[in-house]
Amino acid sequence: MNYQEMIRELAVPVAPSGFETPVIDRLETLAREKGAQTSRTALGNLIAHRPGTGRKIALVAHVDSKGFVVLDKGENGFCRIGELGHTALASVIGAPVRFANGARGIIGCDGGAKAECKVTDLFINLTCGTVDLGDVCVVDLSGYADGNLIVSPALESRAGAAILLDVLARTDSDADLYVVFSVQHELGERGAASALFDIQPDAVIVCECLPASDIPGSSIKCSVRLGEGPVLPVKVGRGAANPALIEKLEKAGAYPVQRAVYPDGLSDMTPIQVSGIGMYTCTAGIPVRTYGAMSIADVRDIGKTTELLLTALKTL
Amino acid sequence: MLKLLQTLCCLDGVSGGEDAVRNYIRTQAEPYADSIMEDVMGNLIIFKKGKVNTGRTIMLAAHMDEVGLIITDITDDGFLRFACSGGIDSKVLLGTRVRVNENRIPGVIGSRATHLNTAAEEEKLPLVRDMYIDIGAASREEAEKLVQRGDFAAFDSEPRFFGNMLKAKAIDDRIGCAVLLKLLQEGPAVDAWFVFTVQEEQGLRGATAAAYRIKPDIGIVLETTTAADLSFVKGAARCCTVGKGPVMPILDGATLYSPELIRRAYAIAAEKGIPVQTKTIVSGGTDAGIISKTAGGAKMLGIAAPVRYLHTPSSAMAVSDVDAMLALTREILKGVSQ
Repeated sequence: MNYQEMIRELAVPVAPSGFETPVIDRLETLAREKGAQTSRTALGNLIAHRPGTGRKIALVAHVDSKGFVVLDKGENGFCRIGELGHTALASVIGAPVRFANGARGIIGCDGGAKAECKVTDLFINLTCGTVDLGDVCVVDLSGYADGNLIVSPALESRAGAAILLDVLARTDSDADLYVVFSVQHELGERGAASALFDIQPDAVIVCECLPASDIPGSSIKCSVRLGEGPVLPVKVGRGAANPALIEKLEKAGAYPVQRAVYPDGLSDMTPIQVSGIGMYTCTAGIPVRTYGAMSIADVRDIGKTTELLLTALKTL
Repeated sequence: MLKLLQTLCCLDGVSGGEDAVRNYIRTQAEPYADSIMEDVMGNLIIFKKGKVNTGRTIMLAAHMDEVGLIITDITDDGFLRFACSGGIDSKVLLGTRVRVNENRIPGVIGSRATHLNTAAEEEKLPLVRDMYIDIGAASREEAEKLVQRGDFAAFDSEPRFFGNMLKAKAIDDRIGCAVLLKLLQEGPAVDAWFVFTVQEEQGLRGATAAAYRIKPDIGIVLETTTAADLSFVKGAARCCTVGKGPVMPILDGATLYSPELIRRAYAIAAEKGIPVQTKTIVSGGTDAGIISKTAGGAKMLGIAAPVRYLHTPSSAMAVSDVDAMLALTREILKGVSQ
């Protein structure tokens, strides 16, 4: 798979947390083209099933990005918004946004740009089109690829989705494979909490981006670097990966992996572990440098994460 | 409907001690229920056949519990130490009348006399740990005859009408209970589970177990939400306005309500001429948060009465919103059947 192209394609739909249907629709088409049977859950998680005679394995990637929802249409094209997922608000003041219906605008702040602001201080100055209550938007920036680097908005969710599509296309394991594209991650891992309840897999691997520490002033305490392979977190926030699964993944491939610990942060593995009667769960992460609306990943890490998952499907 | 709401607000049901509320609702609901049960947590779970079976499992939920106090200790001189059960702004407590346990022992919340305050203390919010409930007992022994640790205390506040408004304690969420009970009695348009939950104010705890039992496809939560529609609050921070109809939120602190259900519900309201509004800030959370992600997940709709001074002894809602909430919920259930 050409990951740069796939991520660029998946980054186009306006699909912030809770409003993922546009990207889910696209993923459903792509998953069916790869021979999977698809269904959706009540909250809108997409399940792509590739039946097999082996163990029941689920791979999960969340597909939602951060964004904003119109809560008050206001007057004269200035609307008030709520956050869909936590954004460093100071970083989006002045940013262009686009809505699914084509409307566009710029994010402004009461009293001008300032370092400390609350979402209630922010507004969108609509410059074209009209919006209704409940309409959603994302920061409108365009990405690019440069050598091994992929620079993109929504990278944090779309990279995992691209990997799972590639795994779906390439796997030759006999696993009874469920590829799950989950929703509402940025709102607090909400989609994943119910996505696997009816599947009850034998093991779950979450594929999501995790912050790299190799940037100036990083608050990430353990060393995670771009280009050094998939990240296997022992812990993300409240969620702790199943130790036996981590070990199996560490031994699965010959390439290096990066063990990590994130005392803070969100991971879909957290609610999945305690869903139903509990599930064996771990995360295979892609290291990314995250700068507000834009992130940077190394395409080699993405490729290696795919390889790791392909191997895992045969050995778990 | 107004009479039912007043009756429900007069009952005491601090989180974990909802018995009086549950018993009353059960008595009123039993003749109309196709099945009725209380689960381990104390949720009252009722199934009622409607005119139509939609083939989908529909769960209607309102919580029986209210914010209040729990007695933590009795002092040597017969005062009751307490903690808040649910989110209560300590500002509203001083001087408030309360009633303790099922015997409704009258008490008032006191603290040191103001002349003992330092200048710095005058600037600060009062701390719950500096307060006590005075039940007029002269000694520990006397108090212990009436009250024990772990007893609940509720606000002692009778419903009153003023202007176009009703004030009462526990409108959160007896208004939801009243709407559910009324719909149950008149017979819903569709087969539905009517669930009166416990311990919402303690973190959506009752609904967690109830949703797991029912595993709904669609959940509708009847609730209240804070209206800050006061002259000095501007713009979106007002959240919503009393008297302008029920609030159907897009997003709150716990739930992203189903865009599809919201769209349909707003269309139904417009068609039937029922006033509705959204809330303009993201705050609070309801049982919807846990119902939406329990088991295989559910699509959620929230219908909330706009209420001023929520979580105080004198919460206040517009009389017109009471009927609008009942009418809206009824019409939405009809809409679900089509």
